[in-house]
Amino acid sequence: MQNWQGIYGQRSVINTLTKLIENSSVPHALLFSGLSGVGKDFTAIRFAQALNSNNLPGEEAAVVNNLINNFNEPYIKYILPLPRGKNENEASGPFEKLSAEENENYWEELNKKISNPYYKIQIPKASNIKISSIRDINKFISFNFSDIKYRIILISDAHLMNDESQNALLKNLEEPPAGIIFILCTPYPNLLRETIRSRCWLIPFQPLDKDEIANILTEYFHVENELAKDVAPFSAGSVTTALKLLDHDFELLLDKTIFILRYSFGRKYHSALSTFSDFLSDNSTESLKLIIQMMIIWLTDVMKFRLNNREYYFTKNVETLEKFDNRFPGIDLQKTIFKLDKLASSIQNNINQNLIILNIMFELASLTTPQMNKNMT
Amino acid sequence: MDAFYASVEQRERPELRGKAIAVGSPDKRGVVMTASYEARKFGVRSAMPSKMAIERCPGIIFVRPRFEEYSKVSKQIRKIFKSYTDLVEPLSLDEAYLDVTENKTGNSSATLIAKEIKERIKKELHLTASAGVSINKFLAKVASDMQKPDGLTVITPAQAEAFIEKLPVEKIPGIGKVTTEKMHKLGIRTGADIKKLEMDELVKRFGKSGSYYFHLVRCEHNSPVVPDRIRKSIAAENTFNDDIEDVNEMLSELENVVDILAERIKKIKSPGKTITLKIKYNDFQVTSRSKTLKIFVDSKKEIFEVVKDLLYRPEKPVKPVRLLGVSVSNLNHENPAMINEQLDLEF
Amino acid sequence: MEFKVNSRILEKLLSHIIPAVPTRTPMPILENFLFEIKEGYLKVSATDLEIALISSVNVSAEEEIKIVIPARLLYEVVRSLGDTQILFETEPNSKLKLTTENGIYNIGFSSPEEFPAIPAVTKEKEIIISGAELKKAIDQTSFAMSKEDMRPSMTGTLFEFSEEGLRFVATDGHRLVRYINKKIKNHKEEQYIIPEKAISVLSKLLTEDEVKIYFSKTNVSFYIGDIEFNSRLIGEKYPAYNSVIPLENENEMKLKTNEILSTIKRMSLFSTTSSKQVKFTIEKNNLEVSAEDIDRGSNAKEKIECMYKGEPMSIGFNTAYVHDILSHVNNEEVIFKLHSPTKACIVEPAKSSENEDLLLLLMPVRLNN
Repeated sequence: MQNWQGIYGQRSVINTLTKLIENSSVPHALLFSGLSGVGKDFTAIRFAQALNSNNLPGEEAAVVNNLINNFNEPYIKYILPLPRGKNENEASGPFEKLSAEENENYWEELNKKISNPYYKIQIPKASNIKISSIRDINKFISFNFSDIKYRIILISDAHLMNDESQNALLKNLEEPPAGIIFILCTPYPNLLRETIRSRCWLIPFQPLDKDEIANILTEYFHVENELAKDVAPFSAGSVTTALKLLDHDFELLLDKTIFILRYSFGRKYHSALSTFSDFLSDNSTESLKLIIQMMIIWLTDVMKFRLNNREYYFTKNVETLEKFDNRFPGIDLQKTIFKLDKLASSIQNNINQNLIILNIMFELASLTTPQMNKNMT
Repeated sequence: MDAFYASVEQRERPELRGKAIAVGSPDKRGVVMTASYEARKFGVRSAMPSKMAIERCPGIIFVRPRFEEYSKVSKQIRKIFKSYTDLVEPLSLDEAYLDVTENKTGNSSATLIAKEIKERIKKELHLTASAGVSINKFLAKVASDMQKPDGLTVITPAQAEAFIEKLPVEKIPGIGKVTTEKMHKLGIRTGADIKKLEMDELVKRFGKSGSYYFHLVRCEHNSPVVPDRIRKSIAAENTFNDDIEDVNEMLSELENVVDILAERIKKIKSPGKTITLKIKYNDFQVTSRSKTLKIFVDSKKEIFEVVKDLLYRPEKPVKPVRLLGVSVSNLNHENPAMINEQLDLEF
Repeated sequence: MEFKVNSRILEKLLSHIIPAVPTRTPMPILENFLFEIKEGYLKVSATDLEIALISSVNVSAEEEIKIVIPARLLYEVVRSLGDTQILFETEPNSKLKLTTENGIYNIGFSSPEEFPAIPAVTKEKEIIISGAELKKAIDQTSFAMSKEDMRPSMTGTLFEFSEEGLRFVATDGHRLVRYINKKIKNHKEEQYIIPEKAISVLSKLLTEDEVKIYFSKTNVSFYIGDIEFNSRLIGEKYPAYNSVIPLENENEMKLKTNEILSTIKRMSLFSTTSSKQVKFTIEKNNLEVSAEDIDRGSNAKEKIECMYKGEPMSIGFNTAYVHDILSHVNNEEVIFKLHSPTKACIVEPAKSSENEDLLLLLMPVRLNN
């Protein structure tokens, strides 16, 4: 049995990977797909360690494991989105034209990732995986490293490769030299070209359960035990989402969700609007999606209340739940949830947020008073 | 655009402003591509031999053309045009027809739009343009040539017919030196003179163009504004009666397609750099694969080499194929004579 | 731990090592020197995982130590100091203290665990070559290495051992150079590809002194004086270059190297920037070289006397490539061996010295007309 220490959940993934190692039948390209924040990169690191330190004497294994843990080449080549440097041209290496500051910023982020493998690296202006990073793989592969058993090329957020990069990668995926293993991680495997996907062994990662999320939050992110447990159910199984909820001041977020719904249903548009825009002051579509998601969860809770199913998400707001249902008894919850869900999935970048907000408010309001709709038609 | 290349140079290099300059090469065989208005005062014109330009305007400064720069500016201009209408037909880097009958501004006055475009070009690009507004492409073009620089000439529908009647034949776009002489010999000097002639008479004397002249002077010239006259790509394809599964068969079909394509490229004298292979499978799924080369190619052999490579990369078609097509884009319009190919060692 | 060393001596040592320190890198550890004191020697190493440089100097020190120190900071400080003694001391808070007559400089150091191990190359098989000869081989060939990574093997220089001698080969697919040093013979054919970066660093390190070379499957190691220079090898197969060297180029043209080279220099002023084409029109004992810049409307042609045996021919070349090739001919007279306008052309010095052989190969540019 390999050492998969520190990884929460993902039993079936670990079983599969263990079997691959035990049968010495490791494919040369793997695709780790699954939500952001479920431990894909972390599993890749542990996998790289298991492959390389297998059968090594204890001390040597520890050295190799440590090197891999710290993303040291040539054991592991970590490819991720990077900003474009000044005067960067076709011939520039991925790091060559970065400013000293950008390079240091990268190290800082990498260090955070090293000390916390569940951390998601955030680099400003790093919106895609540069073609130079992919070309760099070419060079990396071309060197003779037959003294090292496995060299892992870990591509994080692989969907952020543009067409040109995917094309360039394809050639490498075709027949890499022995000992090279590609691991592509992404929540959106469909954004990869079919030809890339078909060359990779797909390893699907499952969303984590709420206890696993809570444990990761307390152990890796030092979130208070209570708070971690509160937020976990709302995270949809993703550490990333849980952290986003915490970033928005989770307790307040719960209240705001209920306020917005209540104001909207009650046609207190001004209050609804100001609560809404207050929450969305960062103007990000992420936040917008987040709060819509929260509204849906709340409405699901209301539905559960009606059905006498007591497994609420909003465990701390049960009284409010009751009041809410009393105040708006006629709402077609299913229809509302459906509409919200549709809105959430239609949100694209660069959309006018105010429009969406108003849309949501009016959609909600229209559901409370069917008579009024009749009058209007 | 007014003295386009020269104006761009003067904009970029303040030391040239207000001076007589010519874009082109000063040596014996060189010609003036564009002269600044300062130089035009001395009688320097486009396409004039450089030698003559120097004789007419001894202090004239010659500036080497930088086509990349001009084409950059040209794109900016086109972007402005496109914000008014998608019906933009470029004639060259610095000239275009716009159909603003229905446009994006809701403004129904073509004259006002022309004014606004001129102002935007001046404000955003620091260049001046001359515009002509009228009922068809022909008259708009003539109008735009009437006042330069920075002019705006409108020929209204009511004026159109009278205008053409007075127009000297040499001013009609498409009538060059030779035709002008021929017409003069026949006593045809103005639009009105043309109008006197019957269609079959014109056709007899001037061939196919005769009918163009006939309609022109009757304001019946109605050729539409065709967006992007400058070709972006050239293609050939073939759909098969029976789906093909065998790669060798695909190759032989592609060879035929490339054959036709190479002919077409040679005809328009625009070799290209990017070669695209289009594959439509029997389930109607379409994929395309392209490769951009370092050099312009136009020969069947060269194109077919790339197409062959594309057929196998990333992998040969996995499903039966219904259609195969090849296109060449990234075309070289500027200088078709410059295709030289560095040959490779064949390892 | 403490030791003393003269600033000039240390500067020289560090200046030899610093080329292996990368500037921007995903791995911060690589921007450090590894400092080791062992058995009275201070050994300094640096690596970017591709190449590594190691050198050492005698110091008197009591204790042994192994630390990593920010390379650029240390190098810049030592370089800017005058000729002086520097006392190095390690402080308990992971600081390295440098003391000179006038100043104290503290530099943070860290532990060496993460510093990548520099692969050891066993000394089983030793090649000894004079520094001058190795430098010549590199100077003759390195210009032709490919700068594109589509075929990684061509981005390096091939070292090929054979009974004929040690062959150095470089090509970018348009031209190819093969230089043979016939003194170093080996009964077994062996191929090693040394990456471009190693070649360029090596070329700067070489002196007249003897060089010892060792190869392993993955690495090559050069010992030059007290410097050890190590490089990863390229693991791919080198293209079968022999198959592209033509055997039937029977049209031979002999020219004065200087004359044709100076003609080419002038032609490069006239050839179009994008294509850089120059045209050779060869007739009986007469070569006309011409170029035309269509963009600027300029053109030039020159006639050169030559000895020519063969069919009249017009052939085009890339001016820059011809220039590169001719500048590496190394003999008063040069021979062009031609086949046809679209086949590879061999360029050779008319005479070569006893212990070497030089062959240059150039693919033409297809002429339009």
